[in-house]
Amino acid sequence: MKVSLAENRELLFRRTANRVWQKITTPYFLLSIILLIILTYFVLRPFFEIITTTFTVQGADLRRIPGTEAGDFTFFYWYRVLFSSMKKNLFFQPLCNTLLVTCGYTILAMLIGIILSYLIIRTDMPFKRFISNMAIIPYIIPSWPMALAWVTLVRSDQGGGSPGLLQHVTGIALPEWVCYGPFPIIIVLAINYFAYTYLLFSAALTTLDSQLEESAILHGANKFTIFRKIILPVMFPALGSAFILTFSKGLGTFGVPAFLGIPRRYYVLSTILYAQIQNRMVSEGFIAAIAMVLLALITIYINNRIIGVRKQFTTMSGKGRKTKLIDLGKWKYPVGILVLCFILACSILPAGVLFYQSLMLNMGDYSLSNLTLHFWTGTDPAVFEGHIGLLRNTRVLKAGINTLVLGVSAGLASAALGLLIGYAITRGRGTKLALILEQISFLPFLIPGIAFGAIYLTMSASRMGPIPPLYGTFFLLILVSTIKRLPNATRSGTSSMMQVSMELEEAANVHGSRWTNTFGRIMMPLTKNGFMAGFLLTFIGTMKALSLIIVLYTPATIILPILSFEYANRAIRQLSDGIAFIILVIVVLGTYMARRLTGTDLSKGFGGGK
Amino acid sequence: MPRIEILNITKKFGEVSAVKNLSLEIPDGAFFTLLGPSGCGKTTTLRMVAGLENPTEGIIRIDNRTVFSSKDWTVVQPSRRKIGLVFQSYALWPHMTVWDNIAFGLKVRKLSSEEIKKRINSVLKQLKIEDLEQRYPSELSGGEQQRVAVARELVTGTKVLLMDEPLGNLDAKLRTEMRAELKRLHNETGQTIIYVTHDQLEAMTLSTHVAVMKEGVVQQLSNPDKLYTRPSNIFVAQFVGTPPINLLEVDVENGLIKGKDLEITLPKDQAYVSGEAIMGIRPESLGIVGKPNDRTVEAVIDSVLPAGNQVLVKIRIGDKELNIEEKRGFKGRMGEKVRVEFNLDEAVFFHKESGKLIIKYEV
Repeated sequence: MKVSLAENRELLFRRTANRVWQKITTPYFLLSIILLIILTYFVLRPFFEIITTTFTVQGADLRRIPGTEAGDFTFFYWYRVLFSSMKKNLFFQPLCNTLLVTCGYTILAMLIGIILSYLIIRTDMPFKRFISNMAIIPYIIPSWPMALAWVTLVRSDQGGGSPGLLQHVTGIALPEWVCYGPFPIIIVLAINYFAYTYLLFSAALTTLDSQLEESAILHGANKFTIFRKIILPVMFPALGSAFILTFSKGLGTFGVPAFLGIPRRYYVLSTILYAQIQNRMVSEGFIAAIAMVLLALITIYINNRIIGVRKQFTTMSGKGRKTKLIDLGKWKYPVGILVLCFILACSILPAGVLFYQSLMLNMGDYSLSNLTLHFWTGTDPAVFEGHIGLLRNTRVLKAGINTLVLGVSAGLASAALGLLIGYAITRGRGTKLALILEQISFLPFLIPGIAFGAIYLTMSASRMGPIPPLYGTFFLLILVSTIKRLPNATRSGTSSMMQVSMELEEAANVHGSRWTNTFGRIMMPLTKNGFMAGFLLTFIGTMKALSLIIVLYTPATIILPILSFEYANRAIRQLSDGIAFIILVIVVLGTYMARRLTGTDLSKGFGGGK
Repeated sequence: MPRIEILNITKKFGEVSAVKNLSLEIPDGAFFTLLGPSGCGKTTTLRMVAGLENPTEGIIRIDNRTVFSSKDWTVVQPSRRKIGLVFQSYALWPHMTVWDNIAFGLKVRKLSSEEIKKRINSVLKQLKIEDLEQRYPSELSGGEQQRVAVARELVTGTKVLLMDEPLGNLDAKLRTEMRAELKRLHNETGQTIIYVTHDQLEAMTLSTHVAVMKEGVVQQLSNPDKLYTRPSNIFVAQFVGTPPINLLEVDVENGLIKGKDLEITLPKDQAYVSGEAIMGIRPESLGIVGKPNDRTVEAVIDSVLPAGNQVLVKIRIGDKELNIEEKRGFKGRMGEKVRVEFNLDEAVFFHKESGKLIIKYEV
């Protein structure tokens, strides 16, 4: 068959055109492209915006940088932060504080985690079940209410103000540094994050062969030597992993250093960023943000390397054995009770302290006669500068409604987006497009909440392409919360999409079902547990989110965590603690529900109808 | 009734070719089986016919309509190809009842609810699963799930049914049962079926046509009987039949077959074979006999494996092990010296170099 050149060219053109058309009308491909555009716009752009802002002359600084106009390129901010006479206050002191605090709480959290998991997995300590269940609570609840509880507990009248619960009970006035500054920040964050080490270390301990210990006993080693010389070295990879996780988790944390540091001008990177944004030093703040992102990247890089090593390690020795429990002898009950007290102090006590504080008419008076429900239900304007009870206060009510609306909208949006991205990633597995989607949707994880909020602050002040200026709108808060939670939502969306066999979709396809129909009738029902889990995770996250919203809210769009922060700043502790208590309750309940959902989800699994 | 044509299909995954320049014509109403070991490209071929995968090169026609052509990149969507597909995993939607699973395709086609009801009831009856309609897939046994999966495809009235190892997940007894069922269905509906399996017994019992594939290339296309008696090469000969065919290196000269420790007379009607060859002989064409003749060889019994109706005897001629199928009641002992008779009427010969069947050139 001979074909003329012209015919051949036409055929080639038609073929190419058809191929391209086929490709772009493939549902998953089309979806991937749309998602890519959305993600580029809302995730990638902020990332670059942060960087370019630090090199751009800001309108407010025109007098300080003579001969320039707003928008010009400049090294002024970098010079100012890194080399000028203000470098210490602007950057290096907060950086050192960050490193000190982060290393401090990481080491402490790991010590607690290691001891706890060793006691639970390897000894005959009593109350194990209860303790291991309660040990997760500090990890679930947000950290800043703990900071509030801490202050309520250890505050003294030495630094001016009312005495805390401890001083009331023992009569000892604790020094100022116990209440504010690096020490309490380290303690509170350690309590918040020891669960990482506990979970990783106890998982690794269960797979450790107890014969290693038994042979050491035969050689005459005592328990402590065994722990130090045998167990710790063998467990090192798990420990390394726990270290990195704990370290990077608290790196950008804002609430605790804000509550416990700012009152005494002790700044870390996240709080200096906040202070600089408040003082309209946006570029300087963003340099702090970049430093935080870099620190996060470094830890993640090290983490990946360590996890790589760890995998090799566990396959070498990962033989599950029935472990022989170590007999604690006469120490059995003393140790058990001590650990029990510690766990209760970390899990129940903060909530209790917060609730108690919210019932006190006069601060510092812990007698029963001082208890009142005024701060919950009271209406008497003569009490406490006219602040009426939480449940009747329109501001609190408004913030409460806002919080719920924000939590639900961001939850729905991120869960839906997570599911769609998860679909695009699983269906395109192995392609570059899927890889890019996966990586971009992970990026918000790297940007600390406060920096993320700050960048949206500048971006939302002006028009963003087709989107009008969003500053001051509630939609902005929803948008930011959705995007910030995207990494978690994508992960849960991807894992639930992976459980749905591709053949279930193909079967519907063969039957002539359109993609939208298939997605709605087949994929959505099958991934609804994953959707609910993603929703609840974002919902809970929004309840905790202080740093993300703190620079973005307006009086009309205030939410509960911020209201609590505000009240705390104005020393109206009954109200701030009451709100924190409400949030704790919501978060614990929400997490419980999410766990149940993911639990059933995982045990069920959707194969191909078997 | 539709005919399916596959013309010069090639499918590459990256650098690897799963299917190489494959051409097949599947006649109307055929039960056409693609048979081969895993990774031979049979499932890929099926998925390309269904439209779930696009070939890299080639043309596919169903019922004289081009559903795929790489020339101008015509692609007809799976839903428009008027085919049914039964997946190996059945792919029943776990959140829908049996009824809803079967009704799905009809609802998509926007049939009236009466029509849907009528059709589903008829197909439920046809497959003997009337009492399962309100159950969920997880409440069904493997065989029942299988029936539902078939019902879901039959109900649409499709003329082409594609099946990807549909019996692969069933136990041996159910498999036999379902084989009969599928054969009955094929007779009743007269559909064109393309069936993918790695089980040669399944292929032999069910099909009207079998294409044996290896590494993306069809090795032989014929009816099941020919596949067994006239395998086109050593691969097919070995793949089809249990216990497997016996292969011996021989040298044929002057009407005599000579091998290591063996010499037998070549029957006259196979005189076209000469020179170095591989002789293939099925276990049932060998027998242990008392008296020697020009087709017997001395051998030693290696093992005796009774299997109900038959006894599989493994013998050694020199150091070469052969399988023999003997009748029940065979009384030989291990280590015993015996004579084995070669019934060469059904023997086949392959070229030593190419492994291809040596055929008689008919003048």
